[in-house]
Amino acid sequence: MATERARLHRVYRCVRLLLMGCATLAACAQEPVDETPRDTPVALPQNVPPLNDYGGIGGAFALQDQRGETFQLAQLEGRPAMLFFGYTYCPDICPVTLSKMVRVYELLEIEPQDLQTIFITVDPERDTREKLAEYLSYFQVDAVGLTGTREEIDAVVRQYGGHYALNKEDGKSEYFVDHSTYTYLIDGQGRVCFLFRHDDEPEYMAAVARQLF
Amino acid sequence: MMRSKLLCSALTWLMWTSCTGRDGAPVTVRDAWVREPPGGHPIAAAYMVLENASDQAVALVDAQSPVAERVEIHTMSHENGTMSMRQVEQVLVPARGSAALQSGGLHLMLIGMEKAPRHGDQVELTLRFGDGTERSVQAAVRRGGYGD
Repeated sequence: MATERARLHRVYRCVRLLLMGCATLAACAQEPVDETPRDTPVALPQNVPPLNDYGGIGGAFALQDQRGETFQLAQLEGRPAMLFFGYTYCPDICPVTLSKMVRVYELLEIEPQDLQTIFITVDPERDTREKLAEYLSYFQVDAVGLTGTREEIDAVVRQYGGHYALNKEDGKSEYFVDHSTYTYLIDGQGRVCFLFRHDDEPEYMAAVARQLF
Repeated sequence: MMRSKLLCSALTWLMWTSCTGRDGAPVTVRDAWVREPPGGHPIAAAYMVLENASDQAVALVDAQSPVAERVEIHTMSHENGTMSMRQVEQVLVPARGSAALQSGGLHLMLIGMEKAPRHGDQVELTLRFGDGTERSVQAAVRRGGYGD
């Protein structure tokens, strides 16, 4: 009887050790999954609208980039782009748009040069080339930052059906700028092929832009 | 006996101040944060949730910070694809309700800051309410991404 109990005790100990081992293994196996949720593929939305012909807006232009060189869409040599208007003092909309681009690249598993981000300032007085460079380097999307004379910028804004207004108030040195928040998807031929709204999510933007690849 | 009485008073005082703020403000603040300005500009937006535990609606009417020349209450509106930001007089926090100051909507603008706030900094904000009460909060500066 005593030996029977000792045997049972040994079996019990073995089972317990085995269970503990299993639990440790399970914990180890689970850990990497918890740590890298971003590595799991995200299903992009299906049935997004097709690309469109916005013949009335967009087209070629020439402005100065943050390095002081002239930039034209033709330089992209067939690569598509995402273009929007903004200003570096923008406290909310512009940083959010640029952060969304980071996510779009991740979702499409592409490099920034595969879909060029183009930021055109509507506040050239304050957004010097140096400021544009500092601002855009913050986001690691390798964006082209464009500026020009007020007339040059106005011409591009009109060409793209955009809108902006400097909201200067008497007695205040700082001012904010009302500006259109569309992001223009531009195909490899330099044509606007989709307009994103500010509240479009990166998953939706990636799914639409995927049609260009 | 004396000691326990003192302890009791201290605890009551602590509970009172943590619930109602230094000046008895009925509004508490949670999740206060400041978006690190990407351009290194001395101007930044602050966001938070205001919660009103009282039976009276309370309005946030003013805000100040020792590191900003002035703090303004702003709202953002989106019409026909154009974003406009305007200063507003107040933010109403309904009785037993809350008001969210969040990206894309109402927020505080810290203007004329001593220097551009950096990720990891703490910014002190003092909020003043319509009933004359005040509340001070520390807002953490962080990089704001999409979805914040």
